[in-house]
Amino acid sequence: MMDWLFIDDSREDRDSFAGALSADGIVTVTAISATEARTRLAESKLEAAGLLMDIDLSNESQSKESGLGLTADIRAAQHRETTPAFPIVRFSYRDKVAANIGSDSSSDDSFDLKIDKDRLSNEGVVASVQQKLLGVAEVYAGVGKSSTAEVFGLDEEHWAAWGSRTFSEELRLSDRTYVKARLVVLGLVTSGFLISEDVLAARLGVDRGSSKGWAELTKALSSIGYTGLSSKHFQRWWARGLEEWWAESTPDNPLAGTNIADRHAALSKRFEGLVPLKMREDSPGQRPWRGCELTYEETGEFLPLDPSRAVRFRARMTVPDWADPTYAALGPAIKHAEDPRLDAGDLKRLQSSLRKAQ
Amino acid sequence: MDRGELVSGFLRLASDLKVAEPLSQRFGRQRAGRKGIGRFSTQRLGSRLVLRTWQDSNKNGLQLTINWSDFERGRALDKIPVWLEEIDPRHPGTRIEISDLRDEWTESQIRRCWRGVFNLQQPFPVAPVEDRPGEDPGFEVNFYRKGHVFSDPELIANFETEILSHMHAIVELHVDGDGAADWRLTHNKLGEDVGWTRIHHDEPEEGAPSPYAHLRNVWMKAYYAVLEPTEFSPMVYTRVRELLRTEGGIRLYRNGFRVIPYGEPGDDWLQLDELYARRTILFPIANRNWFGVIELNDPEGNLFEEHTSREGLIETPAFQELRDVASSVLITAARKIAEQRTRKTRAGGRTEPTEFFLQRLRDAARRAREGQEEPEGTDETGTGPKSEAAKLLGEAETIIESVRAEFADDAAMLRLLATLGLTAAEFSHETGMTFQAVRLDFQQVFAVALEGRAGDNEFANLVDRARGMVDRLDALTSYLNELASARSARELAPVSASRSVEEFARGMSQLAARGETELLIQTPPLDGLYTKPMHRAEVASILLNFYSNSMKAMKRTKGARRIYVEAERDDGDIVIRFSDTGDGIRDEDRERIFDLFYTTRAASPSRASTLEESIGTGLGLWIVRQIVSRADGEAAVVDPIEGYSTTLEVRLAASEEE
Repeated sequence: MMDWLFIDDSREDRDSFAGALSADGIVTVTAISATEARTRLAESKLEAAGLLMDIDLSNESQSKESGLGLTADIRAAQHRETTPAFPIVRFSYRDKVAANIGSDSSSDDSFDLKIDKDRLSNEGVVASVQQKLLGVAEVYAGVGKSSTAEVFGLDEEHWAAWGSRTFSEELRLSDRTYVKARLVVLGLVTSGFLISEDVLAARLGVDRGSSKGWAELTKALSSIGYTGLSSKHFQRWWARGLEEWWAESTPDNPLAGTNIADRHAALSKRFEGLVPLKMREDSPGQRPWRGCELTYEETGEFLPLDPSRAVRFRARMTVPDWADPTYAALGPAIKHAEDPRLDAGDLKRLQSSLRKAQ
Repeated sequence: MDRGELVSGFLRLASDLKVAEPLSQRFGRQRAGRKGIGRFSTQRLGSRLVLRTWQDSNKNGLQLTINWSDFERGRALDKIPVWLEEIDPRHPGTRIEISDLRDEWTESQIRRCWRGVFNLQQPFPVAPVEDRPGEDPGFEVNFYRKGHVFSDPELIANFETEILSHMHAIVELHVDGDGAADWRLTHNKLGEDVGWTRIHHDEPEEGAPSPYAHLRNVWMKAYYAVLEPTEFSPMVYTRVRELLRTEGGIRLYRNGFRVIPYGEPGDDWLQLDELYARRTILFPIANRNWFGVIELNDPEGNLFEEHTSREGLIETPAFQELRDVASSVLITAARKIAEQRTRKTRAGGRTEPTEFFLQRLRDAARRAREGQEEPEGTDETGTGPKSEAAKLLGEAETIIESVRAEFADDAAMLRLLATLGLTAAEFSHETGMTFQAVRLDFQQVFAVALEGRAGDNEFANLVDRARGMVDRLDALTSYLNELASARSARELAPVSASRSVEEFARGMSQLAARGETELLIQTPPLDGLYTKPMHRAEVASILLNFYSNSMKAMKRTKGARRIYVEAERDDGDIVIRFSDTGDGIRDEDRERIFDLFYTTRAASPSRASTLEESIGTGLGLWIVRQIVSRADGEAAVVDPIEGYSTTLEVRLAASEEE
């Protein structure tokens, strides 16, 4: 298997990051300079399992490269098929992203994943990043000419029920491997038709960290687990599948309409050792369904929220129609009221109802 | 002098006394001159010379009287009468009186003359007499104007009139035979005195500093002056400034002898000029602000040793301690005076000097306009609008001068704070950038090392400790980075106090844990507690300053260390209360802790690094008050909440936009 390449402008830093990601042999990352990458690209010799790209390359004395410019040129070469398709992951500090990109989303489509360098040394983050790198490389290797349903490990009937028609259309129109792969990766990492374990637990109203019965429950949910391309690296569940699974045992109460107590009561009849989720005071409501984007962005923490008591949060990128809308929990939203991405109408309405309740 | 000495030393030309006995009997002074004709020079000043000398308090003295007018051209010397007679007993010593002066002497000429003999005199004795019996008391030069029939001679110039009486305070230091150092501040014309206080420059916090390891038997007495025109009468200011410009500094005497070059013009052995020039200390602290003496009593030469060139002392441990403790005392005292002066200025109601002097200027302008309308020649009495306007304009000019001086200090302080802020921001940014890389490398090093030392619990603990330290540094730099990036936005906006407290806790709790301190917060989950427009970094700065003070206060106690920060809405205000379990704030200090330069900490010595200098400068809580005042709020020490010993409260006006 080929190495991942990490393009960064600081020799010592890139060696540290590459060394950390390669330490246990799960992936192999080799650090190279922007100049070296440019030379290889010009000679059509830029080949890799994938690229980790720093945005700001200004510390490299002999080069005037920028991460964005180099990425655009690589994508163009991949489009011309003079360079093989491989994933490109934006791998930069948050403040470098803020300084070089800010709220401009025009470069977002060039990258398959965006990973902040800032939290890499936090516990478990290297392992998680390694899985993502392996996963995205596997998507590139396998996306080929399969149908959407095949890519996602479903038969056509289930894809029609659980997947997204617009997503299929977009995938059908993608005429290059890297365009297809990037779309599939987006489907895997964005909460929409597929959901992560955190969102799954929130929707079931379970505090998974405290629940001994959580493993048993997820085992029972294997029928709605994602088994498609790269499922080993992206542990996901079908969102619609979850609702169907719930409806099988509780047909009169759709999952989204129940509160934590209802969900816990229903699940406890079938599973032991489940602790009901306790909503934090700054995230009111009893029907948790999503996570707070603002909290995740600031601390990396997943804060479950009830969308009926939360504030819509406009993501930097245009959200595809198959993706879930993004929200911020009310408490963090109130304390970040100056953030223009928050829906001012929602905030005002919820604050007003808070005042009335007091 | 006895009769023989007087006759052979004073009444003979080319006396051989100085050759036979080059040192004086009593104090071993080097006898000056060789030709024995020095006395004739007094005739240039006055026509009469009277020398009186006493050897014993119980015996008669001798008086020699010479009338120079008797020395006529062509007359033999042995024919000229010189009167030598016995006079009543007095305490031992010699006085020379030159009278019937040939010229008129103005006071300024007399003063110049006094300055001419300035260097003959040791400024003042410092060590108590009982500590050095038999020591040479030195010379004292007093200039008098002859009294009239019914009045005593009038003192024109001596040390007291020329320098000492104009200085603003006296600072003393005493290091005893066991190395214990104490200092005090007395005769403070700009504020309150400070009694004897124990000090060690390496142990600046309040408490019981240890004695010095090497330094023994030192006395320092230093007069301090704030060289600003407002602190002197105009005539005196120029004189004192000029004198201190050339003579200011701290002189060093060892066993009664002056040690050169310490305290000479241009010598900065205590690094006071250097420190002030760096502008890291903003109150006057340069050599020209001091006139002082340090005396060392080290007859055996055990602690101090002179260079073979006799120029200065070798850098022994005792000498290094001397420099540190002396500079620390001088800085501590000057800072105390600066703090008291600042308070006095405020108490005088001149918190807004611009408004005061603008009003005066407006008055002057109005009067000038009235003067324009006044017919020519109608202001002969000097009381009309024209004269009044001229007077007001003159006053306004003076006010502008003093305000300009005040603003120059403010500007210097702002420059210093801005530099420190930028340096801190740059530092945290640069370190923050590399921290991830450092942490990742450490993780690998630790992993490999732990594998190689499997089962070694001590090593595993070491790794845990190192990991923890890296984590704490990372958390702190991340917080500082976030603040630094917030600073780049200059617009003022409502600030969420609850968010600021939460971010503070996220950034500082690991660091607090390292100091075995539990950091607890309480914020409302669904209330942003928005203040009136200010800067987010300002609220963080308030919290960081409180934190820094709390950590110091808790280090002085032995109990459990806890910090509790709560933010809430109270009576329409946004209130942040910061409590700790430190040693508390004395009642008498409650009103003063937010004053400029107020600190309970002794100053770092002058050779300290800039970082050390910036700790305990008395600026932190003053900055808090500046921030809070600008936001129409209040900062105060309030009664501590239950379970804590100190509570500082910041009350800010709530945003109306909420």
